[in-house]
Amino acid sequence: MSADAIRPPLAAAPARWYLTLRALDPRVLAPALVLVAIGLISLAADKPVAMLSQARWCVVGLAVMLAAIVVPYRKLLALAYPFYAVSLLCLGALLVPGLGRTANHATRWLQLGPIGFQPSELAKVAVVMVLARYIRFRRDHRTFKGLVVPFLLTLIPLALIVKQPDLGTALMLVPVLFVLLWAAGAQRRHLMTVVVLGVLSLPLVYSVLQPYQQARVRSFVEPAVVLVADLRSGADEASTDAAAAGATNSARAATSRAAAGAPDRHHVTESLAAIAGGGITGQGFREGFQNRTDRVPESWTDFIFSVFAEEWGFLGVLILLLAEGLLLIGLGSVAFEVKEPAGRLLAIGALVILGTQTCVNLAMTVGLAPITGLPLPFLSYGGSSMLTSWLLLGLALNAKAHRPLVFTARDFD
Amino acid sequence: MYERRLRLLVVAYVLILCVIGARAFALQVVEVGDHVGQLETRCRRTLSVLPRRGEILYANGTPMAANVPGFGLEVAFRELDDRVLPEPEQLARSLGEWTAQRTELDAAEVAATTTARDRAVLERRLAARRAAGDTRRNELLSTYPEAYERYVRDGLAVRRACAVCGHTVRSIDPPTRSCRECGTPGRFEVLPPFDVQELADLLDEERATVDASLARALLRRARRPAYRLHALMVRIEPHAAEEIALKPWRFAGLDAVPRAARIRDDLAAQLVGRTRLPTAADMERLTDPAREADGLHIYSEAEVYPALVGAWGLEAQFDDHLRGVPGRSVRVREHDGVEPYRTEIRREVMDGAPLQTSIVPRLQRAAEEIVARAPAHGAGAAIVMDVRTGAILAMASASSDGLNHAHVHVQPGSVFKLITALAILETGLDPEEEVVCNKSGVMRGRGKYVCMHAHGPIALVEAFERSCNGYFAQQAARLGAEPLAASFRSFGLERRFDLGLGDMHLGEAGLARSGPEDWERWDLMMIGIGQGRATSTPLQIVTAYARLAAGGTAVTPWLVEPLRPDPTAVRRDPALVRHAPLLQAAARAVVVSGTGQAQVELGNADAAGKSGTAEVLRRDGVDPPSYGQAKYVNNTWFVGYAPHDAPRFAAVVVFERMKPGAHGATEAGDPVGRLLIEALSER
Repeated sequence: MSADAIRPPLAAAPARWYLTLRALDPRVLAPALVLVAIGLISLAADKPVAMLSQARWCVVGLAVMLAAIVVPYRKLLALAYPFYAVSLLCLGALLVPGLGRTANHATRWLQLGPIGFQPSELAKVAVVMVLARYIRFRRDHRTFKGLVVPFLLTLIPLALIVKQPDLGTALMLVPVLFVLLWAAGAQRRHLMTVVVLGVLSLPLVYSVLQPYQQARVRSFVEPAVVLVADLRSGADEASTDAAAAGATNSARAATSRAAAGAPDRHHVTESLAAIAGGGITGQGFREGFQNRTDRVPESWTDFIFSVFAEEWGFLGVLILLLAEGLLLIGLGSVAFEVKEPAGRLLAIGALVILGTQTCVNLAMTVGLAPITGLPLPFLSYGGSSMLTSWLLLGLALNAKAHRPLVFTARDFD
Repeated sequence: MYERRLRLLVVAYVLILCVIGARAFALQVVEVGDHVGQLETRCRRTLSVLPRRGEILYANGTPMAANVPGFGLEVAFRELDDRVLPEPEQLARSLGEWTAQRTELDAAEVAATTTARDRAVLERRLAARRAAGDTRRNELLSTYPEAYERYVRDGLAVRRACAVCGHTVRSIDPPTRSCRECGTPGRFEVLPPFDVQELADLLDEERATVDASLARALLRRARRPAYRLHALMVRIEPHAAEEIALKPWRFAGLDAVPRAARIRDDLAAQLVGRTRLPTAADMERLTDPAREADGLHIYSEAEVYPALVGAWGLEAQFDDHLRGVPGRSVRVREHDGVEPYRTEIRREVMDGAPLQTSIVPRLQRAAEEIVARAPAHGAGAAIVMDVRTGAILAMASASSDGLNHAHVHVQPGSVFKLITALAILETGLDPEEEVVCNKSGVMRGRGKYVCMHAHGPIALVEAFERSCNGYFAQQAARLGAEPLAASFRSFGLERRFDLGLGDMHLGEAGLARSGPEDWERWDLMMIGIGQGRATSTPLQIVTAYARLAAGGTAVTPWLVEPLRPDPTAVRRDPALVRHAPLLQAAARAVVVSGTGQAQVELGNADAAGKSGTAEVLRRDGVDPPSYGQAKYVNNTWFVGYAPHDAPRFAAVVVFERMKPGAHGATEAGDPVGRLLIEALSER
């Protein structure tokens, strides 16, 4: 089909399908599809059953992305507050006993018939949309007082996500808030003041963390202490068993011991061994020794990078990092092209979520960051994560497709 | 201005990705040797720490069932090589030979059995065992090849020696890396961890048994992480455990772990029951996630396999209470560790809780001695109960059918007249009213009841004292069904008391065979004297007399502390309270001047009570020829309590299928007296 064939009459407003097709920016889509392919290959090596399901979610994700592009983002943003409220309701529903589904000792899934989804993934999108809606055309976020509302809008879902508990996803909202405010022109000194206050309050935050979360942090800051307690099946199991057994004294003691004394490097040690075992060219598809012997915990979700790195080596890692880099640069370019504030904030929000999640996950896998439980976008197994990633891409592309003409010299002016 | 911020953001992400790329380069290209070296020496074993099974205790705190130290054998597949495991064909061959050998031995055993009856029993038992063995073997052979293939594909061979310097390492890495000692690349030889035949000899087992154990452990391993230890033998001899522990180079990959064995005091064997190794049903039950809702630990398969579970008796009924929660520890050897191994406790083991019973050892011994006198083809039961609390102080049973006859429904004979007596009093019939006993009374169309003596005109107390069938049969017919049924309820005879022993070794519930609505006049007369449709368990009868002794308090028997009834919720039965003094006087008269007056021990115990002799049909092939051609054999009973004026203990003794002419008071009176004297001197 030639370009003329799909071009609408000049006098008429661009047709929706035309805008949708125009929005499918190869700078973003190509690397995303490469990443999905890498994810499916890794799953095929690690957990073939999960691969088919993941492929289905990917198709659904693409459909979601197209749907997100079709409706102009300004109409979507008009629904930002209701959407935000719905996401808060879903997060709140998890606190009601019996409504949420518990797995790995955290209640993160809401069951809708046969399908379970994570409201925290929805909340990430909702926060981006509501902040974009709130900040556009405003200037008061450039004052210290004006930061209160954006912070509140972020902290409410953050608190609900922490309650699940899902600290990793909750902390994802912090960079989203700061970067959106920063990109929207908030004063650097204001943001720095908040950061300093946050750093000062870290000891307090640490004390209220779950025992296994504390262990993860300690294992990162005390890398010399190499113990081998398995985080999810260790401290968590002890606490669950203690509850199941009526929390007798000895069980409580076991819990506190597991909580206090188990900085853990087991996940990371096995992950590093897998990555290192890959060498330059890798051990080959389905030949990774760590993978074959099921040594890397959560290898099909959070640690999928180690599976790929072991089987495809440094060369494969380079391709993966290149695709990740191109995707982020592509999203950045989309944000550049959108001059309208709300649209740009949407694109930046997508960039921040996908970029931060990618960097944190990869850094965790190679031992540069503590274990957070964040999946690698487009690669890790999981329907909610896959749908959210495609939805974010859709919103960013929507901003580009439906961007209005802006005649001001600079955005946010 | 803000576009610059956006540009900075993108650059920051790209820089982070570059740092991650540099880290990956360092790992995969520069430091690769370090990480592989760590892997070669890092060794990790996850162990389930078995809880001590809770002890079952006598009332005085001494154990009825306890644990003694023992050893089990576990295997770390990660430290084996392919040659240790039998190939599927070899396993099939080996098991086939073993089965054939067992069949031959079984046939020889059957041939050596002398009587036809024993031979039939043995053949049945062996056939059942063979069928179960075949099922297990076929399951193993059908599932093993896949697990074996996967294991071989994994290439988990790990104990290797450098071909140049002989340096031995345990490695989980394919044998292509350099020797850490001399630096020679790729020259490793896999060392066999141990010789299976040598292990079989050490354990004094057949080679096929060890092969099958290895195969089963491998099947379990297929579902668990490779670093977990898997139970290979649940019980091994201490000398074998010592050999394996002291010579790890001969038996690399094996671990002898302490594992307690269960012993029980033979005195209360029938109550304690037995433990056994878990079956597939136990596996399903203990790993069921629904256990969490009951506050119970959900076992992993690895935790179930070496555990002991209760088979029957208290061991089965209080299995979860006794079993405890297994702990988990991880044994680690780190690449830079100073010590060779370090053990991390991951989940502290919670030992099983003790189970306190009310059994008094001295009384139990006396009861066991008494029931040992029961005829070999019949049964005997003896129970001692604390009248004030309902605690069962002794409960013994001996029988040819293996059932606990303290719980089996049998015809109670004249001890049942207490129930008829209460019904008479409660209905308002005059206890002084005399009824004529003519030795026998003919019932139209159905037969006759027989009283041993022609008592002539006789009133309630005397009839009870002399156990007059004529009086009670005729009065029961006058009463009708409903007053008798109400009297059953007053004495708790309609209840099946839960002592925590389970149903497996109880007899059938006799009273369930019919209800009052079905009773005809003939039935009423027979029930009135404890014959015909009347059946009760010794436990029910002793409870009934304990209620009488307690002056109408509805005593409920209990055996174990968790099932002890709430003492504040005890009720009193109004009918029994009203008539207890008269009935107690009648029971005392039995010992002083009635059927039990000749029993010295009853007198010494200052007891009150009632004898009972129930006639049951003689059965050819069951009762011995020495019983002659008599139509009936006797169940002989005595139930009593002491002291009669301030009752503290009640006891019942019953012998089933005694010779014709045996009498309850003569056979069981003195044993009850002895039990009561023992009880009175105990406390």
